[in-house]
Amino acid sequence: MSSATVVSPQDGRRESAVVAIAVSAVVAFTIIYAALLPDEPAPTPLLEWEVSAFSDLSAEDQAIHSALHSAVGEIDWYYYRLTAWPDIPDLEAEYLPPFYKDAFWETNGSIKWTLGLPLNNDQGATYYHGAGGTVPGQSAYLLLMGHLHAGMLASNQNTIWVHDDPNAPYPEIVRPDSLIRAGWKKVIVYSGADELERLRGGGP
Amino acid sequence: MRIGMIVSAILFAALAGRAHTADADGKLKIGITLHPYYSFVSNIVGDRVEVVPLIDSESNPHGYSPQPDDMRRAIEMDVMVVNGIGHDEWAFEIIEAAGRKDDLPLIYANNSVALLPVSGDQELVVNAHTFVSITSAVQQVYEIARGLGEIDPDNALFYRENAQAYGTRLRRLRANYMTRFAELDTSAFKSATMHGAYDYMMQEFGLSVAAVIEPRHGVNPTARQLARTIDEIRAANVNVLFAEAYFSSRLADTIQEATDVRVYSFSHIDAGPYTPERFEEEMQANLDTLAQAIESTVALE
Repeated sequence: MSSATVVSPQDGRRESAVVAIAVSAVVAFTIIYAALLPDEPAPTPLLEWEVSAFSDLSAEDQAIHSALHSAVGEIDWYYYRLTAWPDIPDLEAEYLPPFYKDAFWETNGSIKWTLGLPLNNDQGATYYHGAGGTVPGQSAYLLLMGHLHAGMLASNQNTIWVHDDPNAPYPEIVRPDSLIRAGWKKVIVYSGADELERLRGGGP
Repeated sequence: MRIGMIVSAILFAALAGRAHTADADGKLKIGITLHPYYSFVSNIVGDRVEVVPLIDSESNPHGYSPQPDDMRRAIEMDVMVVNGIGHDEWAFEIIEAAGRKDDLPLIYANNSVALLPVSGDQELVVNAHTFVSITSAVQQVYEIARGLGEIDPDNALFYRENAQAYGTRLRRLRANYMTRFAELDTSAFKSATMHGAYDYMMQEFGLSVAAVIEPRHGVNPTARQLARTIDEIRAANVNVLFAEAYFSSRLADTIQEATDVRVYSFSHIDAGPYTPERFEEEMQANLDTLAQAIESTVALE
């Protein structure tokens, strides 16, 4: 005796449904995953009274800013050792740009630098003021060394400012609000730490 | 490459159990990724610390493929100094493969350096070659000394004083060439570079780069990109092209034939033996080359 089993072919509806559900699940998962991903770190937007050292400065302004930014550590160290702020001749004796009068100094406008010592209403801020640049379109510069106690190594409050008028006089008061009212703009550095944050969120 | 790294990591698993602390003679082991950092760190620490290059001296750090020996060295380090902004990305693969991602302190040399974009790049791509510059080098030397002082506070003042002495020596080197350049009229000098490595160095000498041949770091241009760059070189009246001392490339010959530029070679200090003097020697050679290029331009004007 033999018995026969009749197998009826599937019409494919179930298979199509399974595939459709799987595809929908994958799409839904992808959308949810993408929505939950953190945004790529972006630089903080600049305020009206700020300019970017990376993208907003002319070649000469950028060169002087880079030199000033680098000089801060040297000036801090000088102050730490001698508990006195180095005057321009002291910085020239250290070959320190942008103060040292060399080809860099000439090419970037032969800026005249002066040291401004703290006044009572400045909360101890010392500044280096650069003006009189000879390159058309060049800025005036202000390196502000923040409140620093004798014997401290670094104030970590140093800022660099530029002014559209290359002959902008040194300010009587160097508090930020006064500087902004006088037309100075704070230069925001794009540093290695910022790039590190962009590349890998600040860690290895 | 990733499978090779995993296999190598397993092979070195036994080594991972070794204490990665100071040597038997008490010396810390400080790792470095690039040639200039060997010079910087050596001049900061003197003989009180052992400086360990992560990769072999003749390895090209552009597009580098990590090797098993790199992981062995990473396992034994107490701290590593890195560029961290794009020139030693392979170091992070090695650190991870060596199982040191969570416990190897890193000193990011560029943390406080004000970065510049690569010349001529409309997308403002960050130039990672901060180590081909004396001003940026001094800044990195201070950052490294500060970082080492935090890890090894007993020697912090020693490191700081050495950093200052080294910085003064580097600035004196820069000043010597500044004196030489100050006697020359650089107004007719227009340069292009093969590799986008020299913006920091040119800026600190009051010069600029009109065009960079490589469209991206270590990438040769396509025929169309090259044709566009040649047009830019002609339009900007570029008269000097700086090729690479350690890269062989016929591109420079092609550009010279098309534009009549004079070709010189710079080094961005990425080959040869690791020595404390290497950064100063290579920078001096670069600045000699730059002086010759400017002098030849002045002579032809």
